[in-house]
Amino acid sequence: MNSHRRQVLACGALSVAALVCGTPVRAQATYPDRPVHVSLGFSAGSGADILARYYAHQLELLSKQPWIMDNKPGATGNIAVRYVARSEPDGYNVLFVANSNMAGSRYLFKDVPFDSLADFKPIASFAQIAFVLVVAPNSPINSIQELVAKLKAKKDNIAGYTNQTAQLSTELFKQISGAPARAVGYKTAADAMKDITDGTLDFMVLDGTFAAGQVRQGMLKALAVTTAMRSPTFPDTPTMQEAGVAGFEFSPWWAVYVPAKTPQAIADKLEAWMHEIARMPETPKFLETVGSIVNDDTARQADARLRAELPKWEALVKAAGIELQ
Amino acid sequence: MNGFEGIYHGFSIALEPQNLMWCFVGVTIGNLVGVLPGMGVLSAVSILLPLTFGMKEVPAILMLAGIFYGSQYGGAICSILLNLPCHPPHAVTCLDGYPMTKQGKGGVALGITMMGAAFGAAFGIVQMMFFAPYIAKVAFQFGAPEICSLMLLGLLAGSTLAKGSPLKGVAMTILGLLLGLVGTDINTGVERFTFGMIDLSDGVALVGLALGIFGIAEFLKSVNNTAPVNTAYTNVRMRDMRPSKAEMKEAVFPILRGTLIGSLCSCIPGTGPTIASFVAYAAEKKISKTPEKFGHGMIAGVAAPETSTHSSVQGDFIPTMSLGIPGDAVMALLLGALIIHGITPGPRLIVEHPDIFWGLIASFWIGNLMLIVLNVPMIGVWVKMLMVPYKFLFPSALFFICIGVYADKNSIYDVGVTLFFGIFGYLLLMLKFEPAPILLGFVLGPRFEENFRRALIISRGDMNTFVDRWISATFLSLCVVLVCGQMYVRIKDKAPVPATIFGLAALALVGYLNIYVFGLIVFGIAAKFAIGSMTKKPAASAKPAETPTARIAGE
Repeated sequence: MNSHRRQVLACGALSVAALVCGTPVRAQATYPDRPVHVSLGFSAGSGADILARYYAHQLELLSKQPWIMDNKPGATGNIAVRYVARSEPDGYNVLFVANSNMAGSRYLFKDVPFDSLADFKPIASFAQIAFVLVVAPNSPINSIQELVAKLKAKKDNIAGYTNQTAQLSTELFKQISGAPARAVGYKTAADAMKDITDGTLDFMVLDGTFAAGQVRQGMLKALAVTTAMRSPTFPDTPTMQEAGVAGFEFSPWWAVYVPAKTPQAIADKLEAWMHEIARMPETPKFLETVGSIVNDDTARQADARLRAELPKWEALVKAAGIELQ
Repeated sequence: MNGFEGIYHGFSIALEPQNLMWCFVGVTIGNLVGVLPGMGVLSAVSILLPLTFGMKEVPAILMLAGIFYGSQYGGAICSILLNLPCHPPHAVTCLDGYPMTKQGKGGVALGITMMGAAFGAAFGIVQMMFFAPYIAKVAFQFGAPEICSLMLLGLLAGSTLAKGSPLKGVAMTILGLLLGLVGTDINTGVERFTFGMIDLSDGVALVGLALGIFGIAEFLKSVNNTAPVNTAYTNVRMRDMRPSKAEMKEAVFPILRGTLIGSLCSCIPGTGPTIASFVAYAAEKKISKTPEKFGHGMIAGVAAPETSTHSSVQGDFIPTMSLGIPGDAVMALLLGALIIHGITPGPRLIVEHPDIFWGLIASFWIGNLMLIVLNVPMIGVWVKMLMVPYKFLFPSALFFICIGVYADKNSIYDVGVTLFFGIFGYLLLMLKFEPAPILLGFVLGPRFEENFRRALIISRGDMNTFVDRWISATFLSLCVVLVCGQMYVRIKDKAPVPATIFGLAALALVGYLNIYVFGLIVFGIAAKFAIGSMTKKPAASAKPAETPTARIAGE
């Protein structure tokens, strides 16, 4: 009786084991055979969301399965990252994330509920967003050199920022140029518009997605973009390096990650799709409308990019005097 | 293109069959979203945003905008009938709307709401047609010191929002301020009172707080009443729904004042309909000759905040459309939709894309008309909803609350927050604390603090920045007038405990003192009073709690 039961149990266990072992192989061959969920740490309709949705849409066309956007805003995006770090590594949980979470969070917060290096497998880094340094439209200042000279002469300057990337960009700008400025935080770019346009703020580093229209229509004057190369959204604006801030490169970039234990075959498939999208002619065109530049990094390049940025974030967070949480 | 040419052009666009259809779809969805508790307009717009990617830009914007203002029409319904603030701007409508329902005047309250809505919206649209550029200029006068002073005025004026003991009211306002502190500090990045939970690092969700302390608390309170509570006022006849002449007369001036406050609030960046409706209610109570009747079903207490919400919602479009600067998160979404369609929102939108600007304005007229046609005949149906037995009605409302709150951020944590505040709100009700001032403190407090600190950083630490600028100075002098007025009345009446003054001083000091300890002390004292009076004699305790209110009435 007893042994019979044991046999049944053993059979059951074996068949379960066979099922479990068999599934990934079959799943990898047919992946994806059900909708894929993309987690994003920003609310729907935000600049990040518009960008992410473009890629999700293209992935949908390539994979012939729906890609569902799960907007999980909160804790500057860390809630979405935590969610994917803890989710099933089956290729159906994908994270679209910015470097501020992957490179910055470990220095900005004391208890980060994920490890950006150990918990994730990189797929590709796909876009860079140009932040712009702007001044009031009627300001007599027309270049970064003039701005630095004026800041150094006036001493008690004030600079606005709306997020940590902008705050740290300001810090880096201060460090390299030696110009003094005190930073003041705003919740949204819209909140800061009054103060930057009437000259209350001496300068501000602003998200290119929002600034594009304001700069083009003369509400703000752009002095430099924070990316290493010029942005097609601001074709006449020099980069920080061109404007004389040597070695300045600090801008948000976006990447795709999956949980670390996701099968390599699935990761490779995703990577191939991401490269295909990067090479589509409409991709740079679309990215320009949201102030972004296409990246076509491989998984390895994306990983190297992240590792190279870690010390930069650590140093800047310390310099900006942001208290560890 | 002036206002008349513009609107003519706009109607030619908005009346195109396709645009008309999407406008109708938008307002209908909005109306439904407004009725569903917890289902925020933000989540509705963001869910439907991808749908518009394949549409042309004009119908896309008309539809998304329709959801926004359409939801305001639905929002008042549950507030008035079920004490469920489905939508934060309508939380304050619960205060007098629900008592009206209890008196069998739910239909009247809804009728008044519709009148106010129509008027407020119409005013907002006219304002946008003719004065958009000027209003955008006014908006640019409001920097950190001005907003800070305005918030202080709002806090002072609203500190008497609650009925019952003023001390308890102040304690609740401070509790609201404390709750508003939870989350990441914008200037230093320090996380306050998050207890290591990253889900709290953006603070407590307003929707969850409002639904918890009003809706769920009320549910928990009524669930113990085994007797069927609401059969008495569900049998509403058709003619009971139409406001009488006297009631209309009572509503006229609150509607006018609400419109003004709403349009003012819409001019000030970041001051959306929620603040507008709270300020309108507080102002109405301050002006009223019978403030003691507020909270017991005053028509003015429904008319003013509702009108204010609608006029503010329409006004919200002004900075968004004329400057490309979004007034709130929903407006940021609309701008996102424009960007997707390759249109750069900015100060030249009106000139470069007159189709969108004027088409939108014309669709406001059409959409609001549709909403009134949709809603007025429905009042009767809504009121009938109360005839659904309690045991079905409230569990299903609870169900929708959970779904709505979850959908807001795809977060189960917020559902927990809502339920927590539900239980907490129930305890407050048991101890006879009015929950409304919590919301006031919660909404105004963080904006006060944020702008106070920003103003001081910008002025390099000079406190004079608050009096050097005339708009800010005006608000501050109004604060002084308010405080002195209260003191004068107190001294004249020789009140034994100048609780109000004490509370007002407490509010003013909140920025400096260790407010956590301070708040707890006040809360503790008030709680002691409450428990003391409850344990003595329940019957007798009601009276001392009522008298101070009556005294404030004289002010």
